[in-house]
Amino acid sequence: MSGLTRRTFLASGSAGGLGLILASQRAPAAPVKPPPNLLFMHLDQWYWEAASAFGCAHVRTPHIDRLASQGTSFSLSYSANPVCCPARACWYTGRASSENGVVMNDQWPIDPAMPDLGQWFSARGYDAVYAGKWHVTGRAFTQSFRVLTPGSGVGELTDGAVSRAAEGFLHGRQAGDKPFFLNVGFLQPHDCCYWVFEHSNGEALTRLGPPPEDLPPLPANHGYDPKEPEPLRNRHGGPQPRNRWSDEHWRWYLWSYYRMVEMADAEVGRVLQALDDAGLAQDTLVILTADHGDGLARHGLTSKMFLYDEAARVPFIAACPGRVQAGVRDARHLVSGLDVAPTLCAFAGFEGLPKARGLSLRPLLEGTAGAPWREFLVSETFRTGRMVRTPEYKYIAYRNDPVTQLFDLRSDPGELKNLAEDAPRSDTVRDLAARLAAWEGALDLFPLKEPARPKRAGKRKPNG
Amino acid sequence: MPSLPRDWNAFDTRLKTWVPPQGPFEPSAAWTLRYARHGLVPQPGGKPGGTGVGSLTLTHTPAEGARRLRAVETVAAGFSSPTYTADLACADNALLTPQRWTFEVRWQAGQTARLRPGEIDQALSGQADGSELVFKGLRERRLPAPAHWTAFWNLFAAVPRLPFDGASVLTFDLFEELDLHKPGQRLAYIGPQAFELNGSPLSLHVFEQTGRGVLPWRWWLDDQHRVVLAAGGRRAYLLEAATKGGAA
Repeated sequence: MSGLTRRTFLASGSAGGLGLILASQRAPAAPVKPPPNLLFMHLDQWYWEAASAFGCAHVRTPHIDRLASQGTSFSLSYSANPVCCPARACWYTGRASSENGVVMNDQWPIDPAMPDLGQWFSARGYDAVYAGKWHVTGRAFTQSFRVLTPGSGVGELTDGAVSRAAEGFLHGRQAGDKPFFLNVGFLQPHDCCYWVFEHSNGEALTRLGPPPEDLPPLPANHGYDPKEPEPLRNRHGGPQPRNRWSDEHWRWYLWSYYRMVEMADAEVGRVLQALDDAGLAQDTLVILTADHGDGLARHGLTSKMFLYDEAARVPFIAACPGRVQAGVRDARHLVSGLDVAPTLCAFAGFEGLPKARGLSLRPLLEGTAGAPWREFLVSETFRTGRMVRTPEYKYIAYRNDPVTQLFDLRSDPGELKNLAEDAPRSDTVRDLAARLAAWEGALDLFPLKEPARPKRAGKRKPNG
Repeated sequence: MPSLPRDWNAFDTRLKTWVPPQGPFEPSAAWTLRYARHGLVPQPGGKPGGTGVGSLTLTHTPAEGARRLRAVETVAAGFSSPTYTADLACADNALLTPQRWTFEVRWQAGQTARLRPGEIDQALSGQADGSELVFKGLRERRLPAPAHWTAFWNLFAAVPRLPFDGASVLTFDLFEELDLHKPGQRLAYIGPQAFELNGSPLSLHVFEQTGRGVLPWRWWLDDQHRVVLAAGGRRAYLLEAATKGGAA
């Protein structure tokens, strides 16, 4: 740590690598073009590979594919916290969950003194508008944005209204209007949570539907290690789908999930079409990502709130003609949800949010040759633990369980073989544990009080 | 008598006062049907749940060699909610394929939204032009027309024209709200289903629809071929009231 300030280390850890990286963030290149409009779209619970552009044969996503072909996508992109509210609070504050206060869904509110992107851009001349799901505990989005429509908690019911609102906003733009920062929060494919609820008792699938040959096969890592740490073992016990579902249930779940991704794709397409029709595509940076992924039958899991790739890893696409390299699939650079805020600020040409932990992706998107980058990133969940991801390894330290996990993702992308106890890997474990400890030690922790709104038992909607 | 199917169970108390439509219905005649738009939102443990989330009113009018359809759908979306109004001139084919249409979006936004009046309202239109679909908004754009296609609303008029037999199959591309393209749809007759509702037997006929970008839809029709319930993944339309040919 010598020679690195605490601030520098955080930026290079949570956000990755060693301190040299910050050069690009401290002195972003002066924009040679007018600041672009910004369109930040996010899906909810979108598995990192669930698009045809990313090689998935079970889903058809022509609009997402087109965006990917027009821009740069990152395959090593991770949620800063693979739970709905925390992931979103990280996007909008640029700070780790332990710092902004939103460590879990709905219970702990955001630090009231911490500015968010809506406020930041509004104060700097942008028309900051929002449509759809927000879900940042403790702050109404009407405090930060003009809100076109709030949507609802069910994607199939209101994602169409959300994309219509965004379309209407884009169609209504007039020459001379302020640049916009349009945020569009789609729910899909999050409705998969309701599919789990609907089939949670494991009753036979009596409904008709796709022919069996159309059902996707179970993934290679559908099984799991019975010696998994406690937070994961708990997920495999009790009334969880794993214990009640047949293979056919799982395959129906997969099939249904992909249809929901296709629903989201159509909505994304509507917004992108509106951008084209309004003649704004050339002047708008588009970012499309997700708050977290979904278990998607990997490790016998659905949903999120754990640190395997299926929950923590998310798609990330950025496009802007003439500013962002087109047709690039970046499989080398580690990207964090914490990078959203610095990236948007860098493209807008003004300073980033205070103490933002992420890195601007601008050098990578512009293809700046040899841009230094982080060597690792950290993702955390309050209930589960924290992970360190390097280009080669993932190390997970669990809360309330001394069992750790180390996966060599080059040879074990499905994260099935825990190497943490392998003697030849002890140096790697020590190194990654030290990086995590240093990252944790440098956190500017927000003091958590008792939850303002304890979770209610019984009737509830699925958490984002 | 079989218990209430899940699609119906989700309506819970609403069904206690729901009365199945009575009297004749002629799918090809003029009719107006009003549906409650309903969310199908199950609870943990699988208990069905949901709530009303808007409405849909469809008016079908035969014209010489063609069909006209007017759809007015209100979507409950909190303090800023849209109403869609589509006027469609349709071909007199099995899918009532739209030939020309206008489509308006009007928002009812409370002060919370901080929108200027009409700021995000829209008036769009389109038409089928030979082998192309023409969409007219800020700019005109053209897409190759699928061989067989229709809009979601048109299915409420097309499905009733199908006979109740296993040979009733439609294959088509769907354009939800006239622009969200969902290819590869297949809609087929499944068979009759009878169950008890409020102490009385209810006998219906079921079609099922699957395809890209949708969860399976089930279309429940009464003996008169009237759509009384259409239920997809999390969305359903339950016939509320009928006028002018919809019910006696």
